Amino acid sequence: MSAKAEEQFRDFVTARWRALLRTTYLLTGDHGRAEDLLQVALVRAHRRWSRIDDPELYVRRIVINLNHSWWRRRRIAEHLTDAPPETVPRSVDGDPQAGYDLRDELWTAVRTLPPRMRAVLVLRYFEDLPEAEVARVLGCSLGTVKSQSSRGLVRLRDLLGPDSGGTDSGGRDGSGGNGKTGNSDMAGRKP
Amino acid sequence: MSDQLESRLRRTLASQAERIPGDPDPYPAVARRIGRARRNRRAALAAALVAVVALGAGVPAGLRARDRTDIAAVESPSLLDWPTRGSLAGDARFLAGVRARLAGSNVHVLFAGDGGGRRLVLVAVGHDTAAYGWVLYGAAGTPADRLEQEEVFGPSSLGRERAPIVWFGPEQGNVLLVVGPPRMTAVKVLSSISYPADGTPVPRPRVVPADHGAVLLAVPDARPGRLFVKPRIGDMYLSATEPAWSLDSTADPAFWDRVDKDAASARVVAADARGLMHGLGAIATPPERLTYRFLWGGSLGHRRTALVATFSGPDTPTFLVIQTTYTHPDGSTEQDRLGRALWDPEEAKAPVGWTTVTGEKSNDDSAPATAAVYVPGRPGTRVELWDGETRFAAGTTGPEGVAVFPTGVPRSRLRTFEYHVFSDAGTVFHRAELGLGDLSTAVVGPRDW
Repeated sequence: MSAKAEEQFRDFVTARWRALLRTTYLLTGDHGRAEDLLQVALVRAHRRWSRIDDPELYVRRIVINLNHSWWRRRRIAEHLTDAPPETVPRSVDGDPQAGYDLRDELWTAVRTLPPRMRAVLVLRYFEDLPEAEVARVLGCSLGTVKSQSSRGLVRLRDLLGPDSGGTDSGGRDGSGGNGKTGNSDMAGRKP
Repeated sequence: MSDQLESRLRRTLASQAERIPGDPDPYPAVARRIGRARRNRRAALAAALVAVVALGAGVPAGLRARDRTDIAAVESPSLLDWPTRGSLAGDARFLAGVRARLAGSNVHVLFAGDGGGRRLVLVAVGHDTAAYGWVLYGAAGTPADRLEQEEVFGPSSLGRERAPIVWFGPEQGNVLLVVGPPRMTAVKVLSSISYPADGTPVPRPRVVPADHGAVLLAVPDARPGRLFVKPRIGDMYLSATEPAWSLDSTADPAFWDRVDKDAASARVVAADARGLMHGLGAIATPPERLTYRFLWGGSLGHRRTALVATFSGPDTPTFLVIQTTYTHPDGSTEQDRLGRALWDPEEAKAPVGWTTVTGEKSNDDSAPATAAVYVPGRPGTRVELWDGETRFAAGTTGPEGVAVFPTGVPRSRLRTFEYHVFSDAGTVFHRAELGLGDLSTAVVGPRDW
């Protein structure tokens, strides 16, 4: 790699490290593994740096695929977690502890989702990416993103129980909650 | 789904992400990793070249050609071309029910059968460039539309994958399903390891014949982190695969509070203690199910710290574990964990010696290693390192009972050295090799079973 390209790579790592690490952490639920995974992804990006048009997209894809591969091999560690939050988040109802409990409960539920489903939710609701962009990052169809997102929310609501505050109003995007979308490669549905 | 849940989800993810601290200069750690990957690639390339040269020089041309034919014959078709196996493979009505349930894509039923009181169906959905794998499961006899469903692989080009698919259901009567190409003749299943008195684990695998490339059996004694599968394709066993586990284990803040308190009482850094517990959990069981005891934690000098502890999981012996942590100048850390099973937990009270290469340019066994010897409760004790009949080095334990020897000797050789611990009267009261191996091997055994 040329000195200029190396400099560009260094700038990219420095500028985007924290943002990418945050996303990776949300995908893995484990700080140490997130760092490890992101480093591996950056090593791969470094190897192909001169041929990559969109480094951020490339690294995100590798992170997601690595996490999925890892999850398939050792799902047990999927449930491990770093220390609980040390700061109490703000709450809308004036009870800081109540806000903490609800978010912790929701985060616990998020961590039980399969990795692809979690990736869709993280990209949609943390990165705020449009569905089409999520599909581009994941390398899948728009229909798959919609069905995964919809099913992920349904599953979260199921996990949180009737007091979760969610109401069953069907898919916001109109795709419904059963995952039976027209152009999805997955097209599986729970009975 | 309500906007309320979506809003909560946004806030939750943002709140969790805020926990991740910033790193003013993450590049040095990445650069080190790049260097290590580069060295590994070069080593692999060199090994491949050596193999090619050896083949070219030593094998007659005719035989080389035949070998190539054999290799091609070993190759299996894409999993999307595998036939349907299992006791329900001929049940057209049931298979039609599976396909109807997964309507809308190319559905390939790879396995459908009952066994161990459960019904399992393995399905690949898609095509060569974008395939997903699903397992449908339930009690034996359950109709297709009432089976539960779980994704086992996907997406992208996994349709071209030819490796056997392994699925294990700890909540489904511990059934293990291995589906490979029809040439898969058997599966070695390792779920039992014995630990003789010398602490060396001995794997006890069993060989299960495959039925047209598929195996479905119950493994009642399987435990998380200690179930491995080696499929045999033709005459060759593939490397071990560890099936995924779907275990529910939520973080227990009370447990981690106890870890912090126990660490403090043993003068162990809380972060090191938590790191060790997570590391142990990844190889044996969720940390919350471990029984542990911190024996000592402290500095080895030169940016290194160490932690000596014992732990045991459900149905495991007690393990002695030593974690050495090196902190780079940029704040990033690297660790190694050594250990062995203890026949008698009281052995943990005896002196222990180990090697570490943390902080060296390479982490392999050829790197120059440092030796450390911990003599519980005995500061000022004389310790010697012996290379066979030759005394290599001598030192005295510090205030916390630890003697450290930077040796410059490759770790693989340093592990054969003995350490001798002397009494006040000048006689050796404890001697042993610095042979402590890596913790993962101590727990799950060697891989060459």
